[in-house]
Amino acid sequence: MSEPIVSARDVTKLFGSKTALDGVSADVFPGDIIGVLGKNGAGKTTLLETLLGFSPPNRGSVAVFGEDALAMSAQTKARIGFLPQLDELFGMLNGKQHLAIVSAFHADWDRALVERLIAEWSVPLKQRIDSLSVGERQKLAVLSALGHRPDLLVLDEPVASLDPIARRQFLRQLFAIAENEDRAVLFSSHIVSDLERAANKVWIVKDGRLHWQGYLDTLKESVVRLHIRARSVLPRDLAVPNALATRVDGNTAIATVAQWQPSEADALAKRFDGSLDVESLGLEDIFLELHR
Amino acid sequence: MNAVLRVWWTFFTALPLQRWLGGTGAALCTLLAAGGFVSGTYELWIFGLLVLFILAVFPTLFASPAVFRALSAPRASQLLPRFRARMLGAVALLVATLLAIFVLFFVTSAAAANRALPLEPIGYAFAFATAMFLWMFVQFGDWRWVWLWLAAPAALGVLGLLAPESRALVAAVPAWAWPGAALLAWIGFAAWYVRARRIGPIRFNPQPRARAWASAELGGALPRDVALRMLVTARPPGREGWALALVGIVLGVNVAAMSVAAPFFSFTSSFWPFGTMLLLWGHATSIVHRSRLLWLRMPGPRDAVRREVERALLRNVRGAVLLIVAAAVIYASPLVGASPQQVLAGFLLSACAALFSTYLAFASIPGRALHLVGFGLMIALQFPLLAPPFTSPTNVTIVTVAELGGAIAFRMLALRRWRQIDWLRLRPLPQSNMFRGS
Repeated sequence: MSEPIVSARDVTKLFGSKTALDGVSADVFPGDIIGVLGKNGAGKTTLLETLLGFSPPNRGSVAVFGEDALAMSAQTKARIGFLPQLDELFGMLNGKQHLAIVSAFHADWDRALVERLIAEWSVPLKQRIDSLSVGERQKLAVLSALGHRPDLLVLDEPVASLDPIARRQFLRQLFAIAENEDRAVLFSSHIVSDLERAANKVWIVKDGRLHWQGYLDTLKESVVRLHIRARSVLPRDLAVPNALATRVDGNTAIATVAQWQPSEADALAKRFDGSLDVESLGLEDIFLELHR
Repeated sequence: MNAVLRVWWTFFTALPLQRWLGGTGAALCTLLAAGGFVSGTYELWIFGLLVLFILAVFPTLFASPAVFRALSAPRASQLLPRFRARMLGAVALLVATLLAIFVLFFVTSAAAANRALPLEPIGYAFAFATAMFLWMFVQFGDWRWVWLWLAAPAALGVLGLLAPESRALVAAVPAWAWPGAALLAWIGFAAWYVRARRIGPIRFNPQPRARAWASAELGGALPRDVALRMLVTARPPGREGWALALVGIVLGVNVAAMSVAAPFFSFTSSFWPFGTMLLLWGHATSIVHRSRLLWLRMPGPRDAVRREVERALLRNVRGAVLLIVAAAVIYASPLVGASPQQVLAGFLLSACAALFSTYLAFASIPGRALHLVGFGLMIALQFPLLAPPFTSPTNVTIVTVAELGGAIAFRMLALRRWRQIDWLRLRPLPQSNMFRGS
């Protein structure tokens, strides 16, 4: 397996008495498109910014391209593209001036790519940034993060203010980046359908912990909803292994379970003396079940 | 708790450092007052009240306009029942409280000296508190209003030059006119406040006029170092000569110093160091907060960003020092004829104030509490020690040493804090909009 681009070990971050991150360990490998999912205040932004060295952890360490995230070299920083949750554009400049400043920091700024995206996304370059709509500002911010074709792209809520067309175009761009298997993308979003479409891995952040991390397909296979139909009335406490939630109604029951193994199906059906249907869940349902 | 009392209490306790200082001030004042009561010595009472004044009253006077603006700005606040009337009630209670502490201090001092109690200073204190609150309220909306501080005396100075008889008119203003004017100012402010459609949020970050950016050609390849400087200072390239513009204003202010109330505007009065500190406050804070933009663009650890930020801050100080040099030249010229010692003392006083203000901003991460309180404490030192009747070489030396010592201490604190700077807590400040569309 190749070396991880980002490697976090036991990262804990406190804000006063509040624990924002609690012993997070995770890796980002080349080729990963990782969607970070979590409720508001779960710690997604803190996690992304701590991984990039913006915020020093109280415990643990982060390495980016093998270097300490708190002391990255210029070469390493040049390989990162970052889009913060709140854009940090110069309000008094126009888009063209803003891109001129950002591009000055990158020797390998891909002018052709940026110009193509400007045309595709209809970014108004001559207007002052102050007077742009939130979505237009976001497009400009995304361009600033993508223009140097970074090897690691970290995006905090990149599509929150984009219209559906721009969102599709943006996701297409993410796929294009991921085609190059040396690169990785880490992005948070509340739009689960986008995340499901773009990501190959998922991190679910809950109360400052990485509640689940791994391949999206594995997650989908792992968390399922069981529909149980027994011959007799079922007990209130079903005691299904790894159950996230159960609802019993007479001789039928619905249970959502994690770490599901298909081989367990026959044993369970036998135990309840009935039949068992396994329903696959979408990411949104899984997220809701994990947060019950 | 009643809404008015709750807001009033928030004025005193909004910032963590303010709470700490206020608590310490109240505890010390109580102890000293108790000691004074037991021993029958007035001096302990007076000292206790002075401590309370410095630790609780001054920081609150400077922080409360920010709190007032921050609470007034959200649209949702307008939906609260009788919101604005209650906010004004809380401000009235605040001013009454501050004035009550001053009166207590003043009455005790007069009793200790066994002299009659003149009422004029109470009126002046009311006028001062009013002016500071309203002026700071405007400042927190946009730091460019700092120019008002310089423009107003300059205008008075020009008036003094054009019409010398106006000086006598100013001197003849009766003492009651000051609190009267303050009362009128409050009435005007209240009338505006209850009718205003929207109160703007706190905006710290001054920026050049849009016109300056419009004329800046940034379309082509931009050198990295220029881009870096622009990121951290938010200024278009080639605009570093802004100090020259300031010098023009200095001339105007010095005209004021020469013609009207010369002692108040003398080179060793509080006017110059205070003005310098104010001039640097907004931009220094803005530079510190914009440092986040440098993190992924500078090699190495936080020290690299810290060095670049310190360089930008010192460039800022250089501009202020140019301004002070220009002022010194005018004071040394036959126009004013100040002695070389006075000019040197005035220069050092203001230059050290520039360093103090800069390094205070540098060390004020992640929060603004240290900034507000540090600023308030320095003003609390400058104003009484450098007020015209009390200005003496000793007092000037004390303030200069305090400024320089403060600058050194804040730099040391900054070096320690910047190693662990957390940009999650330090985002770029909201943009100034005073000249939007110009």
